[in-house]
Amino acid sequence: MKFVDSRQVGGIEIELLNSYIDGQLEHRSRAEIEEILRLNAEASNYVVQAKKLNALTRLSLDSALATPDARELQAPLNRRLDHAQPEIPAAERRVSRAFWERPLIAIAASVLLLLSGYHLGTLSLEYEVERQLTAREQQRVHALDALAEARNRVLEYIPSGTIHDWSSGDGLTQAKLTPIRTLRAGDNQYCREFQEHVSFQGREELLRGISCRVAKEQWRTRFILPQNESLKM
Amino acid sequence: MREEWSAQFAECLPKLRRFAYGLCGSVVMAEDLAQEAFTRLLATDGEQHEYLERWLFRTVRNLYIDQIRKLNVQERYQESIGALHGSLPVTADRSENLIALEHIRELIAQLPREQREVLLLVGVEGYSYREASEILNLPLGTITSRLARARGKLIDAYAEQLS
Repeated sequence: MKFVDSRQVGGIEIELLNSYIDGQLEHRSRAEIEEILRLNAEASNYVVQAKKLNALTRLSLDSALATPDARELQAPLNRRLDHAQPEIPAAERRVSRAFWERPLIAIAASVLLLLSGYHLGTLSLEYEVERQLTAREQQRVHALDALAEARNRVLEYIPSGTIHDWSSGDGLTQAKLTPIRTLRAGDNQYCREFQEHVSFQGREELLRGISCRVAKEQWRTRFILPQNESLKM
Repeated sequence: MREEWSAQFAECLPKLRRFAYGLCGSVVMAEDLAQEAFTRLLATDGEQHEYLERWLFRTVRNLYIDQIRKLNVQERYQESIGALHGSLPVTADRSENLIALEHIRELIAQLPREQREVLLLVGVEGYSYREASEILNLPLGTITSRLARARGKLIDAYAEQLS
């Protein structure tokens, strides 16, 4: 169905759903909408899509601003501000410089989980998941960073066909990492195909990817694709 | 005092850049807008310090509108975007996910500016409807109706792209 010309979705006013999505409702009205959404697949789908696009829009803008060229452009103003500011302890500063300093590949990986995450489970579950998206997205990012490190080590040291069990420090994320084969991409560059069975907060994903070696324990992921049939859009 | 504004500015700079970039679709122009906003901040003597963040968003948005009115900057920036894209590494970081993100950016760019700015402030930056109406100097009803149009279009276009 087309949303742009509709006033209602599943019998509910779109503007009311938007107010819910954008956190404009009071606690009680929120709870009422949530009760309705549990039973209303159409409206709940709208909410899921809208929130997903919020998150994707944000990521898409951040990723464009995190390229090497963009950072080069941003450097003069950053420097100006560094000079103008009073000295801030390094620890605090790290907190304020958040997302945009993350490597592109981490952004790409979070998109993948974001995209595929929406297609696991039933509609009502999707909605439950959706509610906690922001908090989860942060946890995901941490988990992904940790997983990326583990992947680097596995690709560096583990022979093809061997399954490596990995678990994050907080125990929230588990993965089975399996290098499948090693390829040579000219000029002494090595790439490896690998499979990952990731379990994050009770959600499971099977991914297959190719990474190429940049330096010791540094691998750059070129492709990473979901394997589950149910993940297809 | 100046130091304090600079610190506050630095804190909201990532958001401000994202908003500017979302509006104009050009990394170059977004940076110009952010720089100009900073320059204006230094020239204001802090009269807006109470709502600094909102003031900055409003300034960036107004600067952007001035720019597109003034000359045919769109064209000029399209050229520089072209140049910038051309210089990006072609294979290394370009996984399929980054391409998917590029599609999203295209969809955002296709929205009319009036709808895009509301979606960016509310959907991406998390401002309340009231705050957005103050930043954009628009009635609340206009915010909600533009948001509905923008969101509806985006969801439709995204679904179409996938099918």
